[in-house]
Amino acid sequence: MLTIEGLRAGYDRLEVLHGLGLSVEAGDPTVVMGANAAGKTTLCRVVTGLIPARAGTIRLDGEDITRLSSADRVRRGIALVPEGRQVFGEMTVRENLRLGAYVHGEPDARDYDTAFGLFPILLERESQRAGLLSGGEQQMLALARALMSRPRLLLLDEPSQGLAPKAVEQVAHAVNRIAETGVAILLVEQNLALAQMIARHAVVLETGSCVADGRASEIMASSAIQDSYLGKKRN
Amino acid sequence: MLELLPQQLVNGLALGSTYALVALGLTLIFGVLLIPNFAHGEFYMLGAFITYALVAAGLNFWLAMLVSVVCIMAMGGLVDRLVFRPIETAPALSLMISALAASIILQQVATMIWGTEPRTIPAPLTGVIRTPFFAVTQLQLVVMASVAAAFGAVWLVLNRSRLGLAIRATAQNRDAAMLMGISMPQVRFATFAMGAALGAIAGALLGATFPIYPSMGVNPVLKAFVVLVLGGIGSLWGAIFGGLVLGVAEVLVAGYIASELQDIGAFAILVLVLLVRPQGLFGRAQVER
Repeated sequence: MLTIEGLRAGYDRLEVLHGLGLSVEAGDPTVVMGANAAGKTTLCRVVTGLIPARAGTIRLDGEDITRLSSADRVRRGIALVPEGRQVFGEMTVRENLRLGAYVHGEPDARDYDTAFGLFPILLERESQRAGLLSGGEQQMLALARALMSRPRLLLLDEPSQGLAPKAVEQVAHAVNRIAETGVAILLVEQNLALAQMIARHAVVLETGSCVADGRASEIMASSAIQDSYLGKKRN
Repeated sequence: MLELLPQQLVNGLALGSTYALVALGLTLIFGVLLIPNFAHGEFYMLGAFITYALVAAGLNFWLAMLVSVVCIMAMGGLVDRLVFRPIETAPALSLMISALAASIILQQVATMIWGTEPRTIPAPLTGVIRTPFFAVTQLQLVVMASVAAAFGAVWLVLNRSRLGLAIRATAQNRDAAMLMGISMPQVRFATFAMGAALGAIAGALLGATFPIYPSMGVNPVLKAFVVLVLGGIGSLWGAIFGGLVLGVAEVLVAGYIASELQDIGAFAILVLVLLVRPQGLFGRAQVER
């Protein structure tokens, strides 16, 4: 589904990704792990076109999308649940969902049914301002909003951030149900618990390069991750 | 003295209406794109001059104003394309300097075409309506009505159209808006076109009352920035209300204290608002969540 080769990207004079390669397939949910500043968020931003790639290629089902605008990538089926949720706080829950379906014109009833089926709480909060929701509810809204564009590839950037363990479990459950419908998942996450609940395929990033790539269960048990990532964690 | 108050208020509201129109366009562009568009005064000035040129060529005033507004809308899009988009990710200071450069260039171009001699557009309406308390010219009424109409039109676009939804989303969170597949060039063009149109309307209407000249936009745009702070940056209501308050305050200061203090009055209010309510009268204080 998604194939990345030799990807370089960064901000101003700072290069964050130094020739990264990885691939994501539907039915094989992938987690990208790594400490802070390893380049995880940059990866999400460059795949969705928020920042340009300096070198390398990004392919979606074989098609080179490296130079496409964000809008064109959304139209081809890439959606991101961004770090920090980034819901439209001044707008209602329903308006947020409507914006999620922006590339298709207006959402139809099925889109809303899918979103509300996955997260019934959003139906209750439908006409509330998104900024007034709790952190967990905002995360669900961000996920539901991403689904409204009917993605084939769903990227999630640290969805567990700032959430209580119960809410993390709800997110994992929802992502697994989305993956079952054939959507390819690329999860970027520091939270091992969430990664274990979702991923089958794991990639470890260290300062902008891939240092391990394989089955999630093996990677998470291996010394590669213990050294490069867990060792640097606070606890 | 006090028997003149109703008349002063009417004059203040008429003056404030043009401030409100200019500020509405400025606040739209700043609120959505975070661009401090100092060249906004030149949309206003060119709106007046194109109307002038068309009227001089024999066109009816209202038709001339309409054509002028359409021209300035296109120019707004062009200014964005040439002046701001190439430095999209630059810091605010660069955007401001770029805006000042555009402002100066446009003034110079106008000077090359029309010279510095002030000109007047023949007023399309000359009637005066007299009441026991005050007199108001038909043109003043048109100016006030056009503020209401412009506000209504902008509100409708923003709140009742798909484009408006995209514009509001961009204003709240540009990255998230891009992730929804909203096309930034489209939003930018629409925002600049709308903002520029508001400036052009103000310029054409004011040009029918006061002389026009190439640097006429400098002062109103500074006043409009005062209005922005007064009303709350990015707030449409704030732009209208702030504009009217500023207009009334200026006229009252000129009428009851001294006309030389008119502008000082405006900036004194600005300082007062910044001290008491820094987010503006209609602004919402920013809260990190």
